[in-house]
Amino acid sequence: MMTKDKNVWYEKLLAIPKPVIYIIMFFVVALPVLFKMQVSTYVTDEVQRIYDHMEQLYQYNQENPDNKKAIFIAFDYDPATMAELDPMSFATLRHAFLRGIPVIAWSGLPTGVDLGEQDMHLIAKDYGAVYGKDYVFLGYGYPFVQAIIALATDVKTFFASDKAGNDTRDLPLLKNIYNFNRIGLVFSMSGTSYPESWVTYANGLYGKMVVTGSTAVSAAKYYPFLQTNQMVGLMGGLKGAAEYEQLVERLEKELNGSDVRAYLETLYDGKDLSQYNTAYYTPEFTPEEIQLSLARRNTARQGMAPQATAHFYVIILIIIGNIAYFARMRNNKR
Amino acid sequence: MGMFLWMTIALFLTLAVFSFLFRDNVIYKFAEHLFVGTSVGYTIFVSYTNLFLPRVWNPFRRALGDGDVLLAVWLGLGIVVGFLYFSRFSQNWSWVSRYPISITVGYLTGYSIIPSLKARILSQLYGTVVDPAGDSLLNAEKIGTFFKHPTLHNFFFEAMAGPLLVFGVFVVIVYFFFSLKNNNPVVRFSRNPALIYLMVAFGASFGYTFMGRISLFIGRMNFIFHEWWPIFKNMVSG
Amino acid sequence: MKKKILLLMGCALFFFLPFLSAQESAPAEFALHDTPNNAGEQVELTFRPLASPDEMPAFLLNISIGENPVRVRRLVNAGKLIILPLITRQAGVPVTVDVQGELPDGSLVDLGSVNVVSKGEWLNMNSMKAFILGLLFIGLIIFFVRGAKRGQELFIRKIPGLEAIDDALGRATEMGRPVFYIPGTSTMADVATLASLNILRPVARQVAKYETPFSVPVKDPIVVSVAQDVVKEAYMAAGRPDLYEDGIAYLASMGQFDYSGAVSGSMVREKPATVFLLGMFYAESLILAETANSVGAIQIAGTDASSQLPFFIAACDYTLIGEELYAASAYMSREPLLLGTLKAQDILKGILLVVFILAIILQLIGLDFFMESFLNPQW
Repeated sequence: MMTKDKNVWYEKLLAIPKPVIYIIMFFVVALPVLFKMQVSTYVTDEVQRIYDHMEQLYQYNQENPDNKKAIFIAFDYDPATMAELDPMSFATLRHAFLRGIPVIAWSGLPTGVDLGEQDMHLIAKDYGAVYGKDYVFLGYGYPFVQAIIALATDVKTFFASDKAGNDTRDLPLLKNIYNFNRIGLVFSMSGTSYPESWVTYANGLYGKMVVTGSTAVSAAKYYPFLQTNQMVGLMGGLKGAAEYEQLVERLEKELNGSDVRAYLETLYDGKDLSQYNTAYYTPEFTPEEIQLSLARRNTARQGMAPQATAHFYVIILIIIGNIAYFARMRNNKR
Repeated sequence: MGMFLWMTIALFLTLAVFSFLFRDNVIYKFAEHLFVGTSVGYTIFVSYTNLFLPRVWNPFRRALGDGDVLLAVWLGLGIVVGFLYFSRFSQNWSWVSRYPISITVGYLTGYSIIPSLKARILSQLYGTVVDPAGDSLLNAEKIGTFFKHPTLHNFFFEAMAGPLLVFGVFVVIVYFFFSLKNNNPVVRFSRNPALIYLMVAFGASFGYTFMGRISLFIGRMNFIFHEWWPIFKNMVSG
Repeated sequence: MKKKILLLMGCALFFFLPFLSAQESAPAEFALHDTPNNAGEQVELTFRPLASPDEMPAFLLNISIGENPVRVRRLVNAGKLIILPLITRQAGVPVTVDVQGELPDGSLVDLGSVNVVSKGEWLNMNSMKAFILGLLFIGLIIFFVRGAKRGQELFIRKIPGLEAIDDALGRATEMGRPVFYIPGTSTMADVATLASLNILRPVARQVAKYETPFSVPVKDPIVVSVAQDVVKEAYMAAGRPDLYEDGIAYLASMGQFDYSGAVSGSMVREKPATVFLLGMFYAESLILAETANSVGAIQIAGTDASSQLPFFIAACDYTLIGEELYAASAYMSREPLLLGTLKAQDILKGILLVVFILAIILQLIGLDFFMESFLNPQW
C-alpha cells in the first residue's frame, strides 16, 4: 500500500482542518451581512406566476366586490426554518394586504401556531388591516386530513373558535368566506412534506390552486408538481423569497410611494382607531418598530449577497478538493 | 430591557450551539437539552390548549350542557378511544393501544389512497405525456422551432425538454423495476442513463440543500448583527 | 298558379316569421344545475351576459336556497361567463334564482327565473379512475402475498449494493475490526426503519458466523428493543448464542446530534472496517458518513430520504437509493408480505409503463383518446 507523504501539496490541501474551513465560511457569510451588501435578483417563472395569480385574484375581487375571494395560508413551519420561510410569508401577506385580498390562515405544526399568528399581526399593522374583517388566524390545523375536509365544507365546524378565542361565527370575514369555494389560492409555507399533502387533497380532490413556499432542502422535489400544474407556483428557499419580495416591493412603491417610512409614520393618522383591537397590535409605530418594519421588507434580498459569496467559496473548495484528489490519484498510479 | 434580555439569551444559545463545530462541550449539551425540553413542553401545551380543549373537551361539555346526547356520546367515545393510546405505558395492557392505532391508520390510509393515486401517479403520468397547455411533450413542432431558429435556448427548452423528460421517466422507472434479471437488455440499457438522471437530480437537490443550510446560518447572522447589535448599541450609548 | 304563389308565401312566413317577430335577443343566458360528483351540497348557476354593459350595466340575482331568506347578489356586467356556486349543504334542497336586469337609469327588468333541487351522487366520477387503479393494486398485492405465503417463488433481481455486503463483512473479519450497523435515526413507525431491521437480521447472522465484533448503536428506545431481539435471533440461527451480548444493540442517545456525536466518537475509538448506514436519516447523515470515511471504513448506505441521498452518494462506497432499500429488505429477508408487495408494485409499474408508452405513441399519431381514457385523472 502507498504511504501518504503528508508534505506533498495535494495532501496538505486534502488535510485542511475543518475548523479553518468553518471559520472562513463564517467570515464569508458574516461580512456581507455586516456590510449590508446587495446583489440584484432576477425573477424566475415559478415566482412570477404566483405574483400573476395574486393580481388576477385582485382583478376578480374588483369585478366582484360582493363575492370576493380570499387566499388561504398554511404556516406549516416552525422556528427552525423561520429564516427561509418568514420572508416569503411576509411578502405574501404584504401582497394580499396591499391589494385588499382577505387572508385566512392556520398552522399545521404546534410550534408554528404562535409564529404564524405573530407574522400576520406584524404585517397587518403595516397596512392597517383589521382582524376579523381583513384577516383571520384560525389556530392549529391538526389533524390535517380532517382540517382539509372541514375547509372543503365549512371551516367553522372544525374551528369553533379562532386562535384568539373569538367565536368564528361572529367573525365578519368567515360569514362569507368559509370554504374552498371562496378561496382563490392556497399557500403552503413549509419545510416538511405538507405541500405534497396540500397538492394531494386541496388540488387533487377539490381542484384548488396550490402555491408552495418551501425551504431549499425540499424545493427540488416539488418541480414535478409544478410541471404538471398541480402547483401553480413555487418559492424555493431564500432565493424564491427574495424574488417575491422584489416584486411586491415594486408594487408597494407604485401604490404607496417610494418613501415607505413616511407612509408608515402617517398610516394611522385620521383613522378611526376604535376598529383596531389592541390585543392584536397597537395602531401606531415607534421609531424602532418602523426600523424593524423597513428591515423586514428586505430580509431575503439581503441574504442573497452572503448566499452568493458562500456559494462561490464552496465552489472554490470543490475545485481545490478535486484538483488535489486527482493529483493524488495520478501520483498513486505512478 | 426585557426584550434585550431575551435577545441576549437567544444570542448565547445560538453561539452555544455553534460551539459544537469545534467540539462537543457542556455548553452545547446544555443548549441542546434546553431546546429539546422546551419544544416538547411547548408542543404539549399547544396540543392541550389548541387541540384538546377547543376540539374535544369544550364541545363535549357543551353537548352535555345543551342536552345533545348523540353528539356527547360520539365525543365521549372518541375521548375514551383516544385515551387508550396511553395503555402503551403498561406492559400487560399495551395490546389495547392497537385499537386506536388501527382506527387512525385505517381511516387515514383509506382516505388517502385515492387522492394519492390521483395526484402522485395519474396526474404525473398524464403530465409526462402532455404539458399543462395540452401539447404533447414529444412535439415535432417544437423540434421544428429549433431548426427554424437554432439557438441554445430553443434547443434545451423547446426541442429537447420533452424528449429528455419522457426518456428520463422511462429509464428511471425501469431502474427501479426489480422483477427483471440484471442481464436483461432493457435493464442493462437503462441503467447508466437512469444513473445519470438520478445523479443530476441529486446534484440539484444537494445544491439546494446547501443553499438551505446557508440560509439558516444567514438568518442567525441577521439576528445577531441587525437585531441584537443595534439594540445593544442603543443601550450602551444610552 | 295562384295556389303555388300562396303556398310559397306561406312557407316563407313559416320560416321567416320567428325572425320578424323577434325584435331583440335575450339580455342574458342563464341556467341552474346541480353540481355533479358531490353529496348534493352545491348547485351551480351559469350566467352569460349577452347585452352590452352600456345597455345593461348589471344584473340582480334573487337567490333563494331552501328555507333561507332570499339573498340579493349584484353582478356587474363584464361580458364574461360566470359560474356561481351556491351552497346547499345537503341534498334535496330547492334553489330558485330570479334574475333581473338593471338598466342604465337604475330601473329593473325581469329576465326570468330558474330552479333546481340539489342532488347527491353515490359515486364521485372524478375519482373513478384512481379507484379502479387502487382496486387493481390491492388485488395484485393480495394475489402475490398469498402466492408468496404458499411458497411460490417470486423473483427479485439482486441489488448491486448487496453484492458488496459479503465482501465488506469478510474485510472486517480479516482486519479484525468491528462492523457497525446504524439502523437510521427514526422510529418504528418509519418504513425505512422496518426495512433496515429486516436487513439487520441476515447481516447479524453473517457477522455471527464470521465471529466479527458487531455494534448496533440506536437512537430510539423502541427500535433498541426490536434490534436486540433481531440480533439475538440471528446469533441463535447462526448457531453462535455464546457470542451474543445485550450490549451489541444499545441506546447511544436520543438527541439527534448527541447520537451522531456519540456514534462518531465510537467510530474514532473502535475504527470499524465496515459501516452500514441503512434507514431514515436527517441532518446527521453526513456527519456519520464522513466520520466513517475518515477511519477508513467501507460504507454501505441506504435511505429513502431524498434530501440525504446526495450526501450518502458523495460520501459512501455503495448506496441503496430509495426503493432499493425496500427491495433489499425483501430480497434478504424473503418475508412473504414484503416479497408479495414488492412484486405487486413491480407489476403495477409495468402496467403503467406499458399504458404510458402506448399513450405516447398514440398521442404522436394524433390519437389522444387512449391517454384521455386511461391517464387523465378527471373522468
